[in-house]
Amino acid sequence: MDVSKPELREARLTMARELLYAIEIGDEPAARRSAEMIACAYGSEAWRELERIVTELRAVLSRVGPHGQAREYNGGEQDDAQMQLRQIIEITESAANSTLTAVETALPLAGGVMTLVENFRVKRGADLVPDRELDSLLNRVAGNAEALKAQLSEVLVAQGFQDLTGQIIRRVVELVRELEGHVARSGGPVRESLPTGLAESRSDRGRGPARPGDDDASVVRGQHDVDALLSDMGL
Amino acid sequence: MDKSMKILIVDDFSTMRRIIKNLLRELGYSNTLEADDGQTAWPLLRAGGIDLLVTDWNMPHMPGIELLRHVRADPNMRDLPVLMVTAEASREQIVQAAEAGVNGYVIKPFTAQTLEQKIEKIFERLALAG
Repeated sequence: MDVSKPELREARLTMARELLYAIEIGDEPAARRSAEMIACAYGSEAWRELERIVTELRAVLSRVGPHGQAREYNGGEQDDAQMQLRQIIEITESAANSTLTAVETALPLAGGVMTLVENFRVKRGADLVPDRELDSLLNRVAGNAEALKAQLSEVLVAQGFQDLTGQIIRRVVELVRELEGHVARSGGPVRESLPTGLAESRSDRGRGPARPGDDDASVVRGQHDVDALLSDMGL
Repeated sequence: MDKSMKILIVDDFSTMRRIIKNLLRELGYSNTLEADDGQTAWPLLRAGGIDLLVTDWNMPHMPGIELLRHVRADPNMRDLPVLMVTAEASREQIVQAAEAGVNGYVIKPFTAQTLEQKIEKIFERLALAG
């Protein structure tokens, strides 16, 4: 507010005098009212600036969803970011559980092979090993080795969590970076839209893993759905 | 199926490239090359000798769908089998990939068995077509 204007300056002086008088006579309610009026008059500029920043943030949030699509701001974006971070927890938890299950299955298999070999050594020392027992031993060792290999493949595949969570984190980072940029440029004009072509490139670049809130009809729920869809297309 | 075929694995996450490479090796395919996005994959493809392209979709610089379109537009590579291994789960994108000429689509997370089945299916179909 421009206080160089005489009428505004006079209004502020009047409020200040009223505050001073109320304090002098001990009229606490009147002093409080005057103080609030002064704070309001001087604070209105700050409020207007804050309001402008909030408007900009809302504009950014409405344009920069993780999928880049235009959406009405309703606070859902924060929920969306939280949902995606929760998804990271779920994916990492699932990968950790898969790995632990595979290790828990693999350890007794390896232990079993060691026991078999040890028993075999004892019997061989005593010259008590008929051919059929040797065949049985080899079959069991080969079976355990095959099962171990399968469990190790499970551990291998479970590491794919890093790719999935990495893609989700990138989406959140992108959103945060966009917000930071707008806050830093809060003195500048609000962009009316994303740079030309960015929305298109986002679509082509991919969206990353499906989110828990995604529309069921538009997203497949696993390889079975993909196969069914491609089969319908003759693939 | 020719186990000595040369397979190009394209993914921006090195962990995923390692996973696919190791799974392929377990399946008997050890002749693999790697690239971290479509842009770095393209010169390797242009150099020739690649028998199968396994690519992610969501990558910087050149995404997998664009790489697929480049491959299909090149007279020397238009018949190259392309398997997309990606987290992209929207029906619209799967249709988009099919329309662009993808031979198989594996959604992440996947199993070793799924990868094997899809590779086998691609080559079975190509053998029938050829």
